[in-house]
Amino acid sequence: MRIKPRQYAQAFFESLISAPGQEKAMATSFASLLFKNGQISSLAEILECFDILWQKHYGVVSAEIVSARPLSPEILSELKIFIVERVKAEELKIEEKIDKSLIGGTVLRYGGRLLDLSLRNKIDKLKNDLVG
Amino acid sequence: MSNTKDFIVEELKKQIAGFQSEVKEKTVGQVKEVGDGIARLSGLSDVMMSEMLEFKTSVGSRFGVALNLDEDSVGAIVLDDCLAIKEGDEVVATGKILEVPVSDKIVGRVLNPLGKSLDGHEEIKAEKYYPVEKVAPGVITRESVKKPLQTGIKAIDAMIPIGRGQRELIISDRQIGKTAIVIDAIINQKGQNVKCIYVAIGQKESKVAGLVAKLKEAGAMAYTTVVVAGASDPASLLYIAPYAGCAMAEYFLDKGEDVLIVYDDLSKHAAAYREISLLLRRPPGREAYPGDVFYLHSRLLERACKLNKDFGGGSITALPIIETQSGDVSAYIPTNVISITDGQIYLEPDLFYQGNRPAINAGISVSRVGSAAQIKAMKKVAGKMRLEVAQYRELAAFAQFSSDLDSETKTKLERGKRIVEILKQPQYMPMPVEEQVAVFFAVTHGLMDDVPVLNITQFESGMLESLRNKIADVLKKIKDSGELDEESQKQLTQGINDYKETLDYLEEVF
Repeated sequence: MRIKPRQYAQAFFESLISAPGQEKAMATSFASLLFKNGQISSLAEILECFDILWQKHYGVVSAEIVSARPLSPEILSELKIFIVERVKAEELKIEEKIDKSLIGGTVLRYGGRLLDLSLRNKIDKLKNDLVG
Repeated sequence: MSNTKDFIVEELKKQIAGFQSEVKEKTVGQVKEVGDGIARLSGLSDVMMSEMLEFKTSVGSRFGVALNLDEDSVGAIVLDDCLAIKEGDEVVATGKILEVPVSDKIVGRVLNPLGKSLDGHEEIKAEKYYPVEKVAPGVITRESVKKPLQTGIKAIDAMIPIGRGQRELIISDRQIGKTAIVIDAIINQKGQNVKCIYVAIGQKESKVAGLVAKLKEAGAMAYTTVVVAGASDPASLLYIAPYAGCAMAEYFLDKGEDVLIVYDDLSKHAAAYREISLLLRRPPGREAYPGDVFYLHSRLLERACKLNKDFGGGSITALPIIETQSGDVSAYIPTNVISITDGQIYLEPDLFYQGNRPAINAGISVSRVGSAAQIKAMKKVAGKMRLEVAQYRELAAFAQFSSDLDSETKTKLERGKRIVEILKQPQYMPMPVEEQVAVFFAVTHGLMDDVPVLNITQFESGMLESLRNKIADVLKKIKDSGELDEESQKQLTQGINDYKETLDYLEEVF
């Protein structure tokens, strides 16, 4: 049976954790294994899965904060605290985006979840309540 | 005038000031691939089976349903056109299982499987939402079928009676009159306190429009809802149509009402499900249908039921329709549905082309509920008819070869001819049960033996006309009490003989 990229990543990650200090040797032997199995072409996919496993294990969560205007540092840090508490993250990778169509407020995306606090969303809802 | 305007503006301001939208955390994912009405999604970690998904596209929202929950992807069917959805679009799980809006207002409407208006009238204001997929009522809530559902079709009400809460399959090749039977049955529910739901699956919209016009003309739209997933709709809509129709039926069931639901037809439903399954890469089985195609229909038809008094006493009678290919009833889907239902009505092309319409084959059509679904009067006059018709067909085939027959056989043949003639019935003319009783009484008691076979139809309508005029009270008594006592029998015989006095075409009985 063909070994899936996810399984490769899982195996690599588990062996890394079980033998700390030997990362370099591990990486070399993993690369030669991929060569031997002719799987070097799926390296990008394997690394993607590896990234997910790594983030999950070390509690790294990537999050996105979208707002209509640049946010002040105070608000930003409060939002970060909120997200960290919400997903119990050890470390937070934040990406900030500006989207004028939100009109006001923010949209938070973290760990496969969405929290829409934008004014556009509220107006849409109000419209639905009035019309529908 | 300006006063009222100011008032409205003030009121609106107050409302908007007090408007608090509830903010909910939602599960999101992305479209990985999309096409042929199917989307494969990543993310959506907590999504439920058959949960509604909202695709946020550049031209507005589209809706879909999660069907395949795999290890690292979700397979979903798209309920609208999927052309607007692009790879990378965001998908939001709504947290709701697929459901349809229901209210008393759905009666008389033509809707799509999502409850959207198709007849140009206003959209349904939902009183409640009912889940499209629901577990069928359990044993404790049910009771046996015992109240008849009068179809108004003589051949069915006499020989293959249908009870309220029964599931009776109607099966035949195309163009033999399957739909004609169910439409007549719906028309005959007028004044019987039965709500009707007609689910058209994968049919031509022109045919459906014709049917709706016919139902309107007959006044049947006053208690009927038509659910349409047309031939041009995506397979996903065809797939959910019967479940959506059943959810609407369950709304009335929960109010303790009797419902008649027609699925026209389940072969196309199975084909739509096959299309979805193959696109979702589920392994194909016999005739390329997926492994759970039996469960597809059994879970639908199991929702037909007769509830007992403690649970409202309502019922759902299901009339599924199956179209066979050149009379092959042993194909996969026909055998499945035959084994699920409580009997089947088989329409035969040969009978149809001989002019016996409805072309019901009495020999292999059965109703497993049987005479429990007939009123006593009907049981009395029609009890042996099914056997007599079957015997007649056998004898007739045999008698073709011999010229001289003994008198007993001759009588049987003559009686059989008249019974077959009586069972013919034009379309859109269902007959009330008390009149059926009178007709069958006449033929089984030999009162029609002296009527030439060619004149039977004429005699029947003339006789009923005369009975309606002269002894309407007897007919009413049969209808109300459901019984045919000695007294009524005497009066009926008298009435029929009186009518015969006025005729000049009767012949001598040998």
